[in-house]
Amino acid sequence: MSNRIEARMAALKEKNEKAFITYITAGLPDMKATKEIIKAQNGITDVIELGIPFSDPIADGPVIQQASYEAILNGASLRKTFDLMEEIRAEGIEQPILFMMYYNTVVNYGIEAFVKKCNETGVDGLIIPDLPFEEQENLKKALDNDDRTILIQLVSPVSADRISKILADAKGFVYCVSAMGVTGQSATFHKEVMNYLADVKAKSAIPVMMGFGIRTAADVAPMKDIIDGAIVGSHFINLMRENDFKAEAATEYATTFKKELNEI
Amino acid sequence: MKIKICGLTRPEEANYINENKVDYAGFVFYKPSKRNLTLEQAKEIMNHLNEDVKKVAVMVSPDAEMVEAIQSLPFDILQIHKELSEEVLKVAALPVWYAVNISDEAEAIAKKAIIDKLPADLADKIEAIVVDAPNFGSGQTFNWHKSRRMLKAGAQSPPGVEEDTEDVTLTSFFEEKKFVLAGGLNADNVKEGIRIFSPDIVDVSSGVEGEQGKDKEKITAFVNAVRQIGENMNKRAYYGEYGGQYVSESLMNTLDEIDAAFEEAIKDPEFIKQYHYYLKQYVGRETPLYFAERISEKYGTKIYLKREDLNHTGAHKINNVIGQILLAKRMGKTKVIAETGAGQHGVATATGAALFNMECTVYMGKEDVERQALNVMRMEMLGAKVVAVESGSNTLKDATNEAIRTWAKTAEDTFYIIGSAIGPYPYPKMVKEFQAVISREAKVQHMEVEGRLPDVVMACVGGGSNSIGMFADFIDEEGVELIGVEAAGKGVDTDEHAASMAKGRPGVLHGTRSYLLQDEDGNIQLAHSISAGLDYPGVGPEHAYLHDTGRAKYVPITDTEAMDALMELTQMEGIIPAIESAHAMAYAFKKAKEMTPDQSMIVCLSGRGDKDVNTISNYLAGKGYLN
Repeated sequence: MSNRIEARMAALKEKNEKAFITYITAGLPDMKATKEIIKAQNGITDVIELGIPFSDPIADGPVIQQASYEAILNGASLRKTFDLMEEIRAEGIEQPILFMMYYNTVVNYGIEAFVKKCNETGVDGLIIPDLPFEEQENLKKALDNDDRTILIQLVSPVSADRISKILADAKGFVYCVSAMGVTGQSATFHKEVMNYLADVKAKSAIPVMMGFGIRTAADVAPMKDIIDGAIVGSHFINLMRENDFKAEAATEYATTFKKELNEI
Repeated sequence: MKIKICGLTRPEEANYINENKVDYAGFVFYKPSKRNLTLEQAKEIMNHLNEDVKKVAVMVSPDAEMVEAIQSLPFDILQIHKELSEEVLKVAALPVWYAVNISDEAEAIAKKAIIDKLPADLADKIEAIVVDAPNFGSGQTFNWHKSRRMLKAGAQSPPGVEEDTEDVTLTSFFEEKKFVLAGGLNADNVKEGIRIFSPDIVDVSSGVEGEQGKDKEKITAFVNAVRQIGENMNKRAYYGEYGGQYVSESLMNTLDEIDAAFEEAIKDPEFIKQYHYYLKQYVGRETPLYFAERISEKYGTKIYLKREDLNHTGAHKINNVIGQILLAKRMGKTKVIAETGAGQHGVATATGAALFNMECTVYMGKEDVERQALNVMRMEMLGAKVVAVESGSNTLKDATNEAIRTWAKTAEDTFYIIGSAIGPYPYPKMVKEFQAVISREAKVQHMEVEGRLPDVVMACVGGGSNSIGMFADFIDEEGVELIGVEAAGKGVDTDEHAASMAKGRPGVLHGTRSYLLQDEDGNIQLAHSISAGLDYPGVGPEHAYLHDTGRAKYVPITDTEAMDALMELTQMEGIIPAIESAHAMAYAFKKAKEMTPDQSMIVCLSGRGDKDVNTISNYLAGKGYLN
């Protein structure tokens, strides 16, 4: 198995542990800080999502919108994030890392060139919230030849009959949007969220992760028997801001969350 | 994507083929097969098949005598498995499909060697390669991913992976012929097979069988699965390479529902009657096609103005709002949301919401809220809630982002009324449908006066709603020149314009792929125009398509040119146009100089200028831009 995310998922399954995933906007407040935040979670957080800032983040709530906006003003870009990936991998950090980004950033870079660069710089996976299953053809064609970079599939509480076809060739893990709409909403989950998660879990051959609106391990206690892990985005950014982006805060939060996640 | 159903054994199965408009039907002549037929049995089934279904005779290592016997029946294609001899090819009077078991590399290479040795005239008789499972008719799939690498490795080999030279030979071998994907397909796996191989034809047999031979429902399910992906590949949601549905997963079922409801509604005479009732009694249609006498005389050609400015609420926007809000009601939605830049679409939506007693929220960039205070007031009087959006640039594109976000959260009871010819499919199609009334009327009106079609039809283009409505009924009239006028702001060579067609690149924004103003990182740039309605960094996908195919021409007009035209129209015809529409007027004056007095053009006067009086007075006072 040559994909870091898939390898990590397999290892967690072996140990019967749940996965902990964090999201941070690349270049907030600068690439140096981002690098330190990644390194601070090495060996703790199972997968790190790096958000590539985009001018029009339609799937994100206010926290990530603002983060994205500031990162762009500070000069962050896809190209610079690739540079960061090269540095991180050169330092021997084997942490699974994926990009969460908008499709125009891929199109602008050129789909083939983008995939090649992801393969080369050790980007293990992609989450593209404005690229639903029906529009994935071109990207999948480019990704098909090499499993170093995989496309993560998203499902939502209203995906209903779409779930089976989305899961048919899903790789790595499934990203379950737990609340409707955009990132960073409070942890008031969609009314039938438990049924939905159970449905996805029953249909999925790969681990099921829940994201959107999670702050602490206790937030996912009600569905601990269903899900295989939790993703924290907006709250993690808020936390980093409150701590002046100090790497130690990331270490501490990740350690606690990961520990509690496997104790609940 | 063509479909072949193979191994028919009963006459009634022919009906399933006919009903599902399957392209090819296969008849097996191979004694060990449970689907084996005699010539008489085959003839009986063929009699039930529609003429346009191609009949394929499937044989295993046949001799020349057998092929000649087969050709006594009205077959269209010979499909041959295992051995294919020169003698057989010599007597073959029909195109030959040659089956290859691709999971066995040695066999595939051996078969290629056989073809290579054939004289060219015989090799040419092989029209297609049927890529089959190891055991003919076994219903097993072969290893798709491995096979794909073998078949299609060439161009897409990842860096660092050494190519097997044999693979490359195979690639060229298969690319010369049509590619038929067979072997264990069914309704569940066919989409994946199509995605991996992009075949020309998919061939199914056991995957659509029940206990008694071919199963009607399974055939329908298989055909639907193929057509669905076929539509995606043919890009039903696309205009050429533009359009699509680039939204979050949580909106995909919503778009499907809207699409289904919309297609049903526009075929329902009651719905259409209702729509036209409100257009006539409430909006005040039809609008006049006014012959602008003085400017026609001055510029030396006949200039007709399609008076959308005379609609209720002062612009064409209401046509679309009435259509979409009736659809929203029909779908049982109780709330509507909309985005607005200058406030025209917001006012139109608030108006429709008041009329149909629906809760309405309008998203508007904070900057626009401040500079369009009057329209904000109008919306609030009409009972709408106006949300000032503070994110990004605080303008129309950010208001649109926020409307999409809200919609993703609330789609269960909320309908998003998009005002421009943008957004995910089916929005561009809906907006065109509900604005097409502009050109339908204009065409008839022009015919009544001139007895012929106009030479030129012109409209301004921001997102492109009035222009797509003005073009709609003329797109198929080849003799009519279509011109869209973009806002060039301070000039297309400055950084301050809204000319996405002239200066943009294809990209993805607000659910659709089209021309966009963007920087080198793919971030969307701010558009600039004195006209708020044209101040958008993208353009509707159908316009991008009309642009690329050359059917329509898109030209830029600067702020200054537009304002000069605005004043001229005001003073010569007594019509104060919206600044948006003044862009079209400005190019009309330029274009007229190339035309003769006998020729005529229609300019869409999309809105009236009352809303712009503040901007105009500031401009005239030399204060420059409000926007």
